[in-house]
Amino acid sequence: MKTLSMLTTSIALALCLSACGGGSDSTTPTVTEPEPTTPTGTIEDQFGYYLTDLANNHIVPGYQDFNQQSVAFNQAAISFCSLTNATDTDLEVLQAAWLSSNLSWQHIQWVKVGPVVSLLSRVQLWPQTYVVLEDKIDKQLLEADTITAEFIATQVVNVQGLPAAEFLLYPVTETDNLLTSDIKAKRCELVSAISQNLENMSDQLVTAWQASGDNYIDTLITGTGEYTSKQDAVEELITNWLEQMENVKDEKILIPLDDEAPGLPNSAEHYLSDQSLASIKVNIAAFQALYDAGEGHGFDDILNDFVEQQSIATSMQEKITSANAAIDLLEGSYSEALNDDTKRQILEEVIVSLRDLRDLFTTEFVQVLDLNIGFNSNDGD
Amino acid sequence: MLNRRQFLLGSGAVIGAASLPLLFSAKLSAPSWLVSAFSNSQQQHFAGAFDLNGQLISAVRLPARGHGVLAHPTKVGHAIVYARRPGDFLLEVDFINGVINRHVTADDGYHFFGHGAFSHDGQHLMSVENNFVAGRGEIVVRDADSYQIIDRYDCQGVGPHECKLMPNSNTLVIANGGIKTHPNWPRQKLNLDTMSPALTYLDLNNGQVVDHFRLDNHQLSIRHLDISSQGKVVAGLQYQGSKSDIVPLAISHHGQSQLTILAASDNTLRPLKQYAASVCINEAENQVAISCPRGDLVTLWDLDNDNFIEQVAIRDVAGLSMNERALIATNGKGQSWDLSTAPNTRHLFNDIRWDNHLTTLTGA
Repeated sequence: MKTLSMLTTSIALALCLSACGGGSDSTTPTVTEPEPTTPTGTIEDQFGYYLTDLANNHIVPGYQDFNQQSVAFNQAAISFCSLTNATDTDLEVLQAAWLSSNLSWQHIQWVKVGPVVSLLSRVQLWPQTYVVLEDKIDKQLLEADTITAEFIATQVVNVQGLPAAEFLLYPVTETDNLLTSDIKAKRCELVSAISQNLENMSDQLVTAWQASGDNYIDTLITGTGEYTSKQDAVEELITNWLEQMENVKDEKILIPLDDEAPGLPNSAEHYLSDQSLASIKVNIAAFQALYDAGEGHGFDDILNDFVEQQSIATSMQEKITSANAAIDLLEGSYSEALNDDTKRQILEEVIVSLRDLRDLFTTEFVQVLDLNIGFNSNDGD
Repeated sequence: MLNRRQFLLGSGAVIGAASLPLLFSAKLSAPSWLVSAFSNSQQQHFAGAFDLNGQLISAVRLPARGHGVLAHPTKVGHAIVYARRPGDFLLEVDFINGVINRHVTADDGYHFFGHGAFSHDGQHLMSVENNFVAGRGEIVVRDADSYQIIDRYDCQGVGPHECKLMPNSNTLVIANGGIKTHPNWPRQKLNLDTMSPALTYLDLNNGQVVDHFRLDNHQLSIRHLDISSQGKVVAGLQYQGSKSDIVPLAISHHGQSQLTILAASDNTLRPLKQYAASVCINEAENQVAISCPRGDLVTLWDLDNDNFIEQVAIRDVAGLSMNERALIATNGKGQSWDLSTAPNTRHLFNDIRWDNHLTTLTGA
């Protein structure tokens, strides 16, 4: 089963890299640890296999894809801004490029270890209020002479990443519209600087992780550097996972849902583009990859074959599947979903599913694997 | 309870290689020890003493998770270990022999909040407790030998947390956190919309509150504090409002008419994630250290002007204490860090998760 799983993983990875046009075989070799043959050895060995597959199957390809989407977004911004008479259709093309870049980011948004730590707020500062974002962007538009990516990279994080681009691409008023604004050239300059800044940051992430670059992947899968062991590295990652679970459940769904319709759509992650639902779907889909290491040597294998806790493995998978199935019942506008009692009920079910997953995760799952999740950071005292 | 040998040989096998060589030698050579509550992977709870060489001196099993530890001023190598709220015990622990000398239970209708302070003469122990029937925080004064309750003082606030005694004065400074809790809902916060935290000064001569200082933002819970030898108070904050807010990490007070916020840029404050754990004044460096476990950082601030200086990255860091030569930090990963050395010296204690607070006490 393991061999088949690893083979499937390798094929999937190869297809992904090929299809995405990203990973160059000569520059981004897959980092491997000795492949498990039988469920022997130590739990530390098991964690090593998990880290290797999660990094190779999910995290590194995720950053590579984010890089490609950010390059595409930047190119779309350059093309759009070169048009003298851009149309609604041209703007929609640019918006679609932003959306692709954003969804790619959402897939790996949960990662809060390694090179991304210093870039997190710059790529996406959230939650932040509309008023603050508007104020910071207006300041750039009014005061900056020439806006470049290098300049933006030195400014407050509010104006550097995906939310700032969204603000410019999905204006609340016509006076802020990229097609009709009195200062549309200046707005375009800012959009281009932000998209280039995103591309630059995504470049940094790819370089920092890849074996031929700063090789952070080796630090992670060997549990060295900032980590005291492979278990320590796993603990950090699952703490990130837990944090993302709570973030999706509370910040992205529970708060916008509020007590009754129409909810609080302005509290949603993408209230301007109304693309919050798409992001939530990607977030929850990523939980599957976190669990099975991108169809590699995942927690399912460790639970089933090493610690022989099949019932916990089954329960974990059921709860992840349940959360994905619930959110997949919804499509389209999040603000409409928040204002529709039937869809609100589905969102409630997603919350319940995530809560169930969180409860199992923080009890039997971590206990049987002897994992420590944020002992002091979750204390609250 | 377990002495050190029993503890090491126990089925839990909670102490790893870092501590194994030591039995008695460390306590003879160690001028001071660090003490903290900790837990292991089996969800068992302890309080342990270790030295700067990374040697565990002793550990005792606790009835439940511990929180603050208070060095005993008159009994060498002894400390008071408080239960984590809403726990109902305080223990006098002899870390030289690894035994619990006294187990004191809170009165009916009360539980401990996890912190306390000794009087300057060491004759009285003041504990911060929740009178959850009346819904108010109290300072409960006990005889430091018999642990008989002598008096109870109203903190004039709910959810008091850490307290310390002012130098050269009989005034107790209390971090009145403002958060209402009840043991029936152990970790729930019941009044986030109406909470009203304060830094409170209480005169132990008469049990009267002599001053209250509040912040404009009522959801900044004042939780932990330290006091310099000159009487400057620095207190860490834990924010209960929106995650999108950028809020200060700490305040100071040194006789002014209002609290002073420790200043830092938004870019400095944001990664701290609105949450301070321990506060520790380092007079030798004229600095204040504040741990931020959610941000995985120890932040250092200027004691005189309250400005941010720098930060040190340590994951899940919480415990801080000045021993005679260095600022020591501990974390939930079982590590201790000597922050006076460059690079910082660290020791790893296997299967130990050091809890929120760290205390220095004199060894044998």
